[in-house]
Amino acid sequence: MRELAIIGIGIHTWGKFPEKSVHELNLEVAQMALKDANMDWTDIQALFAGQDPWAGIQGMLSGNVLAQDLGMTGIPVTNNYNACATGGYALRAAHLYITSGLIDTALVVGGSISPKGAFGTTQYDEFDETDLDSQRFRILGSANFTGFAMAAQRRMNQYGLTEEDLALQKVKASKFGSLNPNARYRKVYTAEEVLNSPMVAYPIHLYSVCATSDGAAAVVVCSTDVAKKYTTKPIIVAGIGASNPQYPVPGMGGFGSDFSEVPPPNENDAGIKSTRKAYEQAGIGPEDLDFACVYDLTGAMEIQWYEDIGLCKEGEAEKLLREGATSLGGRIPVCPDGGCTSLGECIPAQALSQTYEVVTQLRGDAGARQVEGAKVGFSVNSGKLGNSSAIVYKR
Amino acid sequence: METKKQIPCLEGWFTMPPQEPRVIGNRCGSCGHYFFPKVTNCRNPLCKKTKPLEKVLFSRKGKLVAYTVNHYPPPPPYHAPDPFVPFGVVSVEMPEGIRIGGQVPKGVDLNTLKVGMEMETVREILYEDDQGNEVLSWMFRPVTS
Repeated sequence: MRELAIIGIGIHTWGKFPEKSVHELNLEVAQMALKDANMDWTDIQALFAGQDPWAGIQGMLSGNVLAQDLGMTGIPVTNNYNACATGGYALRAAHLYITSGLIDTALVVGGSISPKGAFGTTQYDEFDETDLDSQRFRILGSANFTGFAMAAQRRMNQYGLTEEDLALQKVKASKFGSLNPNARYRKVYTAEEVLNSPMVAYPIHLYSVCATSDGAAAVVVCSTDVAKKYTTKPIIVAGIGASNPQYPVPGMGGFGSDFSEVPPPNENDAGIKSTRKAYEQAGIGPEDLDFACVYDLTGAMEIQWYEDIGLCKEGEAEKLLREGATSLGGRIPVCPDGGCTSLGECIPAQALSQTYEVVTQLRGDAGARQVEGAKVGFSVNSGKLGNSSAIVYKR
Repeated sequence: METKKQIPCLEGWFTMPPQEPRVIGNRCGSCGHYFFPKVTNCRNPLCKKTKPLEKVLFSRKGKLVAYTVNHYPPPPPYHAPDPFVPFGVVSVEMPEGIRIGGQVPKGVDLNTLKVGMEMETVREILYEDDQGNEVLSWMFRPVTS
């Protein structure tokens, strides 16, 4: 099978941009990625776009809108929504189209103008009793971080996670974020500031919760043969895993959480399944990674990922954080872009923002936050209904 | 004094009589797996599904596996009181082998919650709706004996 190369990347700063539409954001990042790839839009043979759930029918068809805005070349457009793994699934579809030999080039985009505050439900699912995940908002009063908080509390009980550890993660992430021009939050926080910020859901303080944000990211991909025409620095996608929870599911099933609120890592968990598939496809293990981008919607979630992706043994994630292994200059830096902690959460764009950072690092273009000599990178996420994707990249 | 009408937050998710309330779910007639909330079809991929799902009442008591205290007003569609009062949310492992989420009723000292403690199902007022009805939900509270 052919290999896939990433040759162009584009990103919009994460933040709140009420004056812009998601379609304007998508257009900006698409043009940026095409320019970065030295490629014209007319060279692109297929477009894969993440759907914006907050923008109506046009949001569902955001790829078609983008294709019109870039110029109506008539290429096929695939729109997809897989919650937080949307960008990963879009990239995986492009991967299959190109490695199978069906086409040679594709553009992959995801963007969103998010609602303010914690994500809730839309008018369509509020009273849908078969939408178990939506009912938790109404009955449990459980926004996403309530579930994350339960998992954090359980980790405190089981492995000795502390509120100080959660503050430490924020301090670590904010140092990375301060060096990332695309991050929403550039300030370096102290542990005291985090611990003094309001409690949101015990044991999680406000400054440990990522903020819902607007943003967009795009990548241009092609076969490795075609890549030679455009760049001397292609980044190879060595493995992509995409998974969903497997029966019997960990956690509370569809109601309350789609991940296990109780460690240890459960092999039926979608994030773990995706990770293993990506490693297997790439023929590597966690010991081969130079850095990793994980889905840190709260600091506690980042710490759990250390074990889920195999950076350390079960029960040792706190130690890994405390000894600085995942910090700038550490053995295995995690979220060198500052993660969701510094960028915020923008559902259809998030996985591609991770890809943007991994490619930047592997190209050696990350400036002050550069992971020295990085050759192998990794990104992983999981979201609503357990949608998950994981990607291994090599330079 | 006029008694307010009491209605369930969701019809058929828990029993309504005030004594010994239970949450309602399914047990697969073929493979025996339990589900909460009720599902449309058994989710075990290896189950032949030759027998229908049965409606079951879960045990009243289970063990606390994780908890949190919400200190913020959840976004709509949650009906958060103003002024807001923090409330507990728990995950409880039932003897049937699955975990069920629920709130902790007002009046429980949330500092007493501990992983492993026995919890029992209760029926409490979640909020009062615009028509003045008391909207009820199942909740979990520590067993005090």
